Amino acid sequence: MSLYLHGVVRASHRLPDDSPFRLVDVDDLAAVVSDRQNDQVLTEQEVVAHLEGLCALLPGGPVLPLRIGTTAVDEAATRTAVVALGPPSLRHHLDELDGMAEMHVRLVFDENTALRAVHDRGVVTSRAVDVVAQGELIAREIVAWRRKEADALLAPVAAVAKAMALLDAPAHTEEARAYLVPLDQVEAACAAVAKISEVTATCTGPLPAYHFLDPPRPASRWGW
Amino acid sequence: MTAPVVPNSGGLADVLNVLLDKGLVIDASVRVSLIGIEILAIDIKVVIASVDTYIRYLEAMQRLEATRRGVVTAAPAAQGISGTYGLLASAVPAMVAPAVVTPAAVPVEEPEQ
Repeated sequence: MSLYLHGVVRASHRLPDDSPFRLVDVDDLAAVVSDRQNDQVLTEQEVVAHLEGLCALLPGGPVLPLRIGTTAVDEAATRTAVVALGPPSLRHHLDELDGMAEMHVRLVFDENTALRAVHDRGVVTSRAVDVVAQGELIAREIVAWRRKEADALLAPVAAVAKAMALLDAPAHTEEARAYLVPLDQVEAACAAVAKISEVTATCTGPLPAYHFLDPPRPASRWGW
Repeated sequence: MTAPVVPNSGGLADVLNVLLDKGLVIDASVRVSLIGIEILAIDIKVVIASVDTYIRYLEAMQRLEATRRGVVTAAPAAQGISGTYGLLASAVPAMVAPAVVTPAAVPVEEPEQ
């Protein structure tokens, strides 16, 4: 039986009573693991359980998520893997993210409203000389318009957030953003999103800080 | 600290599309088993800018422009894969009456007696 590795936390992290995970200590750090039946692939339920389990850890302290599906043959390999990530960098991340959580906000704009706004700007002519080129231009204008609208609508969320990252959206008329907010501001952020009535707005979180992890930098042997 | 809002599973499933290729990556000595969950990533990896979408945008621009000029044009019935209205209708060949070929009278040479 091997292990799934879900994340890295401080060794002092208290797991919730009903957590499906356990900790493998590596000095002052710990890997969050669960048992894995060999040669089994991940199911959708397991993927959701991975994320749910990590979310449930957030009230107990900062969580650095590992890429879903990461495995190790045993606890010794798990410790080697955590050391390979660079404990100084991991400690830095944990300190940076202490008391913070990632919130995802999705805004869905009405397509006709967006097209009308783009038309009113007069940038796009309606003569379809090149359908693809014109279509791309309209799409770019829609994205620029929706981003500006989202900036205004989400200003109350930005006010309580420490950082923001733009996420890939499945349509030109959808804006998806990740905000890094203090845990005690999570409800305020969700309430601010719930107040948005102009467009369809959803808020999901708190999540581990997936979009606010800088790539680990190799430690200089000079200590710089 | 107030208790955090636990996201519902539907929201999490949506969020997974965004998170699938995120998170810290351990070096190659630790295997990553991703088989079986690629299907979750399909939604976000689909190319969002299809020609159908562009056609729909252009048709909307044409209608808005016509409205601005005071030309009232009702939107035609939607058709096509993503509800386009037929911007490319001119590309569809008009119905052409089948040509009727009347054979010309061919002079028949009478064999000389």
